[in-house]
Amino acid sequence: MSPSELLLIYMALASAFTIAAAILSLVAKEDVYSALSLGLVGLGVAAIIALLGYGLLSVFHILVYVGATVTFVVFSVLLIGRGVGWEKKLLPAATATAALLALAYFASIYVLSTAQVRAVTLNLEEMGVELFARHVLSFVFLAFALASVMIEGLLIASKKGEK
Amino acid sequence: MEAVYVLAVSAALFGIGALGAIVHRSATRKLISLEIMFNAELLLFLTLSTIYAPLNGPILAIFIIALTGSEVGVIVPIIVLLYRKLGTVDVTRLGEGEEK
Repeated sequence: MSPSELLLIYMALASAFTIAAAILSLVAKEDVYSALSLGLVGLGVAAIIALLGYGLLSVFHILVYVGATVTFVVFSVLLIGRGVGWEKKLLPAATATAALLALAYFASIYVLSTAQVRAVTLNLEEMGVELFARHVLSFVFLAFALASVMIEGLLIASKKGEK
Repeated sequence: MEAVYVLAVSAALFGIGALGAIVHRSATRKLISLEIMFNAELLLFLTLSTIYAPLNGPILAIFIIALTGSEVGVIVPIIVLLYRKLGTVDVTRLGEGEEK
């Protein structure tokens, strides 16, 4: 079996896992299972990112997105408790709308589908130089944005923010 | 490998996320569905970056992932606050005022 065939099989498995996790997140009765399935979607997407050749970014996605963001959502859902259900009347119309939306989304990017995806080879040094030499200002702004958002979140959730 | 496979996965995730965002009444479930849509977009972005910008794409993706973390950091406290005020996270009952 050639490496490209093997890559295709891995990609198919990762894609099936990701879509299955997304469907599970959609149909789960309890909010906490839905949030946990979101974590599985994140892991599946990270696997696909790794297969595209961005191994470091895949690790970053698992650490920051699955490790922090999804965990935050899971704990918040545990704090809030049981969910409130869904609009059964809307289901046929919503399904048709979502299918049309996905079709339109796919059609709009279909022109790019003939392009070949190459597995990229990037090393940590290249990324580090790029990030801390060329995009250092953006990095500082991002750090300030994250810090201010953290303070904002704490204020909103605290008793003081309520008054 | 042709880009069409990854783009199809991205479109499927986008559709599933959109369906969840429309049908669910809970604010947390809507947030989770929007996060699935975000994953679809990230996948599309990185697929296209392997073709057009192999080096700058992942740098921008790092910022995108970190900013999504901060976005969730704001939205979740808002949902918690909503729950504390109304006693529910049902978005259809937002205009009804305090319940407790």
